[in-house]
Amino acid sequence: MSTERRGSRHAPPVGAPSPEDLEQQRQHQLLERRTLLKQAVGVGGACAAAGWLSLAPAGWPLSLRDADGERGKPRATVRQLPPGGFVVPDAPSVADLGVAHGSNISAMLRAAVDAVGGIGRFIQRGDVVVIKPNVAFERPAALGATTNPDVLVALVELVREAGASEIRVADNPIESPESCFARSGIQAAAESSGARLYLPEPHQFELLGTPGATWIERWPFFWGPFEGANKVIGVSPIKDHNLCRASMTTKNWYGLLGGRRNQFHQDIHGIVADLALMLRPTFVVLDATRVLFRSGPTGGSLSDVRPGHTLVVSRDSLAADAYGWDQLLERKGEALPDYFNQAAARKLGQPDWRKVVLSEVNVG
Amino acid sequence: MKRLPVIQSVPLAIRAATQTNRDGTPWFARVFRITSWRIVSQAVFFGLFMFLLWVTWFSRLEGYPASLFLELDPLVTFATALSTHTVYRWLWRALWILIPTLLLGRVFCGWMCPYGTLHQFMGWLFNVRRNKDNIGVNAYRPIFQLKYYILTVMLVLSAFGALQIGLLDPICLLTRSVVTAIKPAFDAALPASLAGFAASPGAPEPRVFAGAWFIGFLLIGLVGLNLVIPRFFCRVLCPLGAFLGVLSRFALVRIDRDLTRCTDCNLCMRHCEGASDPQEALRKSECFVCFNCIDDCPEDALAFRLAPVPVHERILGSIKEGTASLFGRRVISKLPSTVIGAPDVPRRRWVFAGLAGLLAYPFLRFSKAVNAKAYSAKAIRPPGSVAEPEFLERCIKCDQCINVCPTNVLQPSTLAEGGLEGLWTPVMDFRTGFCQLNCTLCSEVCPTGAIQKIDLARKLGKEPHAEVGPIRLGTAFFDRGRCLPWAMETPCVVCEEVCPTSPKAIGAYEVEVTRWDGKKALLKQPYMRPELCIGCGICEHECPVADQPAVYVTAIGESRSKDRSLLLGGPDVQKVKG
Amino acid sequence: MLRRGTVAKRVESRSGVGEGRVFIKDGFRSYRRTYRVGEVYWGIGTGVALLGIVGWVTWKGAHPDPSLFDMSAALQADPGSSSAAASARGPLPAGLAAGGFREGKVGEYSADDLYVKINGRAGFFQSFGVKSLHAVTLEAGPASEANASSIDIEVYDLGESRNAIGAYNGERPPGIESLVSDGSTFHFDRNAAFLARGAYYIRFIGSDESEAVVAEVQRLLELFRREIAGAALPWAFSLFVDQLKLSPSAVTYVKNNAFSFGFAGDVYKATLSAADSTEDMEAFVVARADAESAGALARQYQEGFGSVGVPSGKTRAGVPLSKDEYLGTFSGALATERWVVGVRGAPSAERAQEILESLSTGIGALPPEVRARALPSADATETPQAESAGGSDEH
Repeated sequence: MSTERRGSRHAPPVGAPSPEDLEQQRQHQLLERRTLLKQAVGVGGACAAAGWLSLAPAGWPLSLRDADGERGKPRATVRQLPPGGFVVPDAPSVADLGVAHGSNISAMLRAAVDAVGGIGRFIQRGDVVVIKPNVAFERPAALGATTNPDVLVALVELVREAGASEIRVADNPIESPESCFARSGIQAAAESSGARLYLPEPHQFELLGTPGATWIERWPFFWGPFEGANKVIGVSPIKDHNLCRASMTTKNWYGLLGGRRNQFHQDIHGIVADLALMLRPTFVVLDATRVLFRSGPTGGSLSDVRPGHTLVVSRDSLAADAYGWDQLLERKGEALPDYFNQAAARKLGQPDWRKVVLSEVNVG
Repeated sequence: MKRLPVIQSVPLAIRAATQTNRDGTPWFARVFRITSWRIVSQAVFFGLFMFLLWVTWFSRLEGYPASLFLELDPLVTFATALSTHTVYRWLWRALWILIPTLLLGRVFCGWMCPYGTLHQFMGWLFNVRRNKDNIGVNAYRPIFQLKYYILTVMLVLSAFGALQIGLLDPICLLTRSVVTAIKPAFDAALPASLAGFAASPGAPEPRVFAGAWFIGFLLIGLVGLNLVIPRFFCRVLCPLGAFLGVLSRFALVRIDRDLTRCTDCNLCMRHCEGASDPQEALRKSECFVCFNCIDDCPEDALAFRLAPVPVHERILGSIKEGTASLFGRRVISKLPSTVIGAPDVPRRRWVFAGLAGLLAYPFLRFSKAVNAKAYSAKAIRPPGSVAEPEFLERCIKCDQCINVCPTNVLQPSTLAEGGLEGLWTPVMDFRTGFCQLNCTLCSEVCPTGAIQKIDLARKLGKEPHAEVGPIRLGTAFFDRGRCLPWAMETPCVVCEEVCPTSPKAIGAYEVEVTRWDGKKALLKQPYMRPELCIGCGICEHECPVADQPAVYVTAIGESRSKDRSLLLGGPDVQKVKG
Repeated sequence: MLRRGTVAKRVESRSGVGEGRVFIKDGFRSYRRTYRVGEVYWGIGTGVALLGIVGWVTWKGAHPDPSLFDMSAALQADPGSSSAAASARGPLPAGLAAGGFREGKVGEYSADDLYVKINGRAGFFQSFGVKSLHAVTLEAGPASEANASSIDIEVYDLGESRNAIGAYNGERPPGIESLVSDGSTFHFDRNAAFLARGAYYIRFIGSDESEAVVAEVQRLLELFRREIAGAALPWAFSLFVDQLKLSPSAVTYVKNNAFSFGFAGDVYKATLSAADSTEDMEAFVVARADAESAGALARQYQEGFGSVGVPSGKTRAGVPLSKDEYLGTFSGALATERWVVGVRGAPSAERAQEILESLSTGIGALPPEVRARALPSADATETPQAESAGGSDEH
């Protein structure tokens, strides 16, 4: 650039070069040499850097070397839930299974929670609580395929009274998430009660490790709401299920998984037992205000639903589910679905609810 | 390094802006001159257009007129009126564009059209030409006639019931491009912390669209052509522009050149958007009414005024000899003619275009994909769609239904499903989504009634539509050779679980099978009750044999046309009691 | 073309060689010399129009079409499904369970599948045009306890109060008086209670006669008397109770096949003999739409009585009486205005005549309000033949 300008200043001289011209020429040669050296250093440096990056052994700083192709593969970090789950300590003096009948949902929930030791036993001031309703389908709540929003509201209020600092509501529905939350009334319930709703957006999922699980030892998990959470409550409707026969509080954790869930049906009982292992909740609420007694788990007709007027609260989701199976789905004579036995074999709960301490109350 | 001039100090800029003009008018007469208002208008309409596409989503739609721009589009209204002999729902809104066009010319192109705004903005931003070249590229070219041929072919096709305006109508084209190409890219670029602003918030997976690459590249290509010829699309291809151009010959108000002031300097061509020759005889059919020529005229010779009658016959004397005068003032310009009303298309070429349209119809219609004889099994239309021939009369390929669909099941048809005639019309792909039972959003946003406005009771076949029964999109079939319980003695029946009808259309036989290793296993093997199946496709979507599902829906049995019914008794077969 | 060259030169001299296109120094370079304030006004007009458009869109957005997000259709029962109803609970009031009882599942049955719940008795309720049955069992104590006491509640929706009264009286054993108060007709029978109120007939049947069960049955009866929509007693009570001073317990309604006559439907009848007597004397009244059809019906009754007896003179008013061939009792019917009144099983012709006269007088003295609602039952008049055929297997 600058050379051009200098060259253009004078017209080329005619005849032999003057000393001034020779001086000009010498200076130009100097400049050329300098430029050559600069460029040589630059090119050499670039080559050396490229060589370092590509040839330096893998452990060395800035090395990009990947001799066998293994280093380049994506590696996911595997998250872990707390080793003991979100369980609160035993309290021998209170019941294990709290059952409340009636029609005032808020009072029923309080009575059922009181029966198992009161909300103070489970939630302390400052807790970050995840509540997992079942919002699998885009149905009005009256069709019984999803958690009753009134139960969710009562639960959020109860948890807030106990001093929880943050309450999160999360589920990964089968149908379009926004529609499911809106149409089931869960969104309005969460918003009106001041809980934070988590939608299952792709960035919310992380790989979760569940040591000892048969199938889901590593599986994409709805991690977002669990970041920093220390209490987990499941609140699930009671539903007939075409394959595993009944979908209640244990099967409810299905909605925390992502990935290829449709493979689960190849061993649904093993999966539900894995779910019980994966998530040890603070407590679960079996919402039997409505009972979807047939055509489950989707339902779709009011004639598939009957009122149950019951809420069951327990730390032990198997006992709560077994109670629901016998007393609310009214399948007393039938053998329990196999997942109860599989989960019980891993000591994840008591599938014979008659063996646990039960406290039953009727609320107006 | 040169300082970037935009980084001037604010007080300096304010002082420069508020200087009194050389002609003594106050500063705001310059800052708020008409071209500034045009830019405001373009920005507002472009923003409104994008906003309406952004709210076309389950949780945002509320009462927004999501397809407003498509309804305002006079070409959509006119062409569907030609093909259906009716004006659907909100399409009368096109009058709001039609009336100003008849009075003022193509104001839509210069002031409102979001696609035009995009082209103008990109052309401005990436314009590196010198003024001499600017004047050159803004000269009128005969290739600009092409849009009138395109319009003619499309209108002739419309009259036969093959509505193809959507291929190139700018509103349809931009809507489609935004929906299938821009929105997914926008969502991919959006950081997780701003997920609430995503175009498809709450979607569990990124949305994918068939042939999005082609629609996207087409957008880049058409916008890129601005670098070759400014507003290439608007000047050369746009059928809506052509339609408005034909109408604008009746405009009473236009850019008028004062022959007694014009020095024939041609500076008015420098930013002329429409290449409408304001320096000579204004081509009314090409003028976008952008007013840039007024800004660029150093002689104040141009004005936008009521000028229904040309003045050249009033010129006295000879221009050649320099003795011409007009109303007593000396004529300076050497070019006496000031206006050309009609598009520059010779009559024989109109006829040629018409003939081309006449021939194009059989070429399109007697291709296999859209013909009733051999329609594609995968051309599954959204719920509420009218029967296929009427559908093709109405669908403008705007893809608003695809935009609003919460599950991503709606896809722009490729040549495989719809042929060229059905290209980019909505079809359902149950591998990308499924038709959600209680959702009727696509029928709400469809501007032309290809998907008729239905309520939920109609879709589900509840009172008062119980007689007719639910809308069926097709029928699901089992491929027992791929179905896990049937072919591989592996438990599954996800399909039964998710089947949304009550009672379920998918049931299962409980059978005890002896496996290859001699062990006995109790299995549930699914079966289909076609009289209950509504073709929603959630079974296909959830089937774990994901790449080629073992249960799949095809169009047969769809309730929108008797010709395509499957079971004896037509689409309204008696519902069985559960 | 010569011009072009000049122009280009002029342009270059004005804008300079290094004309920046993207970042321009001093605003938008235009060659314009004069400006007009009028453009600002036009611009403001445009701005107002733009604001108007944006405002309109905003307003539209805030006023969604309610039908767009209306989910009520999803809750509609399936057409053709026999258990169609808005709520599975039907008329059952809330708060059934109290006092240590808890509510079981509500069963809902229609006229078609009533037999599922009450096999053998469905025809009886069908003859009264039953619409639905809601049944629920209240169980005492916790679910874990087997053989706990329970109370079955059955609520029959019969569509009209006359049907409810008819069904109630049809089930009431002879010898038990019913209590009538405030639109409710009911009685207790050991550990059970029976109630006709409004269009409903309700049975409460306890599993045992323990104090708790009986108390709960009483509480439930009171609850249902409060909660179930009542209706005025049928018009014929006005005739029999107010005019003829009979006990309300004596009055009942027969929807069809009264006195085993196929034509005799929509009949109110009152027992005139004492409960413990061997006599079986009844007065009855039927409302018709007009005097003409009343006259025709009265003739049918006269012929009907005549077919099972012998003519035995006429009353002073010329009404033919029949004497039963086997029992020796007198029966007769006559039309008065648009009503048909009659007597069956009177021990003597004089008694029959006396009763017929008092009935006619009573009709004449009916207050206008009662007359207005003393109309024939809609379904009974439309298809009397079909109705009688359907109910005949009960007799």
